[in-house]
Amino acid sequence: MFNIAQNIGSLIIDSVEVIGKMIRFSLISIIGILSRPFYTNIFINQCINIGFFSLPVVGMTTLFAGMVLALQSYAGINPNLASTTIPNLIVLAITRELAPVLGGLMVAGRIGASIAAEIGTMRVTEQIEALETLSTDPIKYLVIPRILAGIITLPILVLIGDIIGILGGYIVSVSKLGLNPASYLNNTIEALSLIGVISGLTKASVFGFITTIMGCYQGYNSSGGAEGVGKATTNAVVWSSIMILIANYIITEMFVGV
Amino acid sequence: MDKIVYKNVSKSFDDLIVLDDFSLNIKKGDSVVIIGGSGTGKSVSLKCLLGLLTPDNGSIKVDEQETVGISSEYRNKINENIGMLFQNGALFDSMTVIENVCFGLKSGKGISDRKSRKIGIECLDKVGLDKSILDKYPSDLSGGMRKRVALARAIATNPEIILFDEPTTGLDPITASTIDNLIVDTVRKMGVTTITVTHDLASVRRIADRVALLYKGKIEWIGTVQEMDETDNPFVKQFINGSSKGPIHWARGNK
Ligand SMILES: Nc1ncnc2c1ncn2[C@@H]1O[C@H](COP(=O)(O)OP(=O)(O)OP(=O)(O)O)[C@@H](O)[C@H]1O
Ligand SMILES: [Mg+2]
Repeated sequence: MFNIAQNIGSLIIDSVEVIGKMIRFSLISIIGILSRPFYTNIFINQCINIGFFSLPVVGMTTLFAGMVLALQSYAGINPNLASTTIPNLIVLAITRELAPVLGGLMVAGRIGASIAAEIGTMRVTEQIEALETLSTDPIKYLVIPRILAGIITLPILVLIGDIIGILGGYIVSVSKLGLNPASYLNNTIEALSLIGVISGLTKASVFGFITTIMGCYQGYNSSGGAEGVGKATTNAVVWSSIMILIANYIITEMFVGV
Repeated sequence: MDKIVYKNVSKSFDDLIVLDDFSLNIKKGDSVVIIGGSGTGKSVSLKCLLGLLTPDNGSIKVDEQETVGISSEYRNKINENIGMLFQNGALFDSMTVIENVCFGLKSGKGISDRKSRKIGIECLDKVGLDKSILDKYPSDLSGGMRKRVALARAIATNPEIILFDEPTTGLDPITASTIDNLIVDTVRKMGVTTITVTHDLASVRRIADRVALLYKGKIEWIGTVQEMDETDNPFVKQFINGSSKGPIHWARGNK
């Protein structure tokens, strides 16, 4: 009994310590954005890596989300109302929740892991120390370009995901469920709300920050050779996924409150 | 004038005491070689000078300026004048050979691409590497070639102080002696101050103005090569004879 309490106690202390370190790391990075030098080349490379190369994954995810959503909602509603209800539901669900959350989680898996592995390897092979000896601040050189790329490219990815997801719903509704294409499109456009799209994009931006800072933090603080890097990679994915879900709730509450 | 002064530096990791009251003075243009058993803290002492590790206690001065606990901008300034060859090279594996060598010139000092490429090629030439490897990645090179690329990177920025952590380990004897000559030349011709860590006694004899033996976190003995050969110090004698009998037991109990 005592042991359990002790374990829980030390777990809490550990968590607080990690959170404290994370916040410190984030603050140092954010402050670093404001001062020169800024490594534009690396930033562009990271935008391509994080944004462009995640397009297939995010596109596939949202496409199938939209398609499934159409099937599922048709099964549960009065067929006479289908051509108004389904587009409404799909637009709402895709733009506000599914595109940002599913897209965010996919990117967390893809990018969080690769950032943690890359920076972690640099840490354990002393490449980060080597940067410092060559008068280059590793936070500015490695961390900031990745964070900015995450914050900027994720909303773009999700916006494209929105379109693909809505398209997926349309394809299934029209070709499989036999809904009228013209009225479906009309209803889709009516259902689109600026605030809904913006809330989704805001989420995407925050998720981009969470994923990249987590990957960088875990990699930057890894130790103990290949095994340490492996741990950092797993932690980056697990923690960014959990934090994405938590942040999603908080942001949703903020926007629903509006 | 003393270029580098370590004064009563100590450094521990958890309960492992690595440096304990470590003091060492190095004159400008001097080539000091640190010898000592594996795991005695030779690399740690170099990393403390660069600020990669922060000493728990004590002071390290470069050009009579304190470097322990300084701001990161100031640290960058100081490190601009220090080159470091890491024990395992620490080459950037996402960059080609020439990008590695030129990194400090471009990113650190803001020298143009063409000019830094020219300097980079010169430095590679000094360590005996030709142009055919310029665009290869570190993973495509042999261990000895990687070491030499790392060496070229350390000297490329033309620093006032260069730290060599085992520059010749893993090299064949002929390349090793070329590297030793390079170190001697850099010191003599360019007035660079160097600290070299090595286990290779042939190297020690070639490059050292003074030899320092690190044992139990301190400089146990320091002197010229000639003094090293003549000394009665049992630690030094044991080390140069490579004997397992004597006062030194570093396999265990080096605390
Ligand atoms: N960052 C670190 N964290 C924890 N312990 C460390 C760290 N760096 C070095 N040590 C420990 O400090 C001790 C001295 O390490 P150091 O690398 O300086 O040895 P060395 O004298 O260079 O040995 P070698 O000749 O084998 O390179 C070792 O026991 C090592 O485990
Ligand atoms: Mg070492």
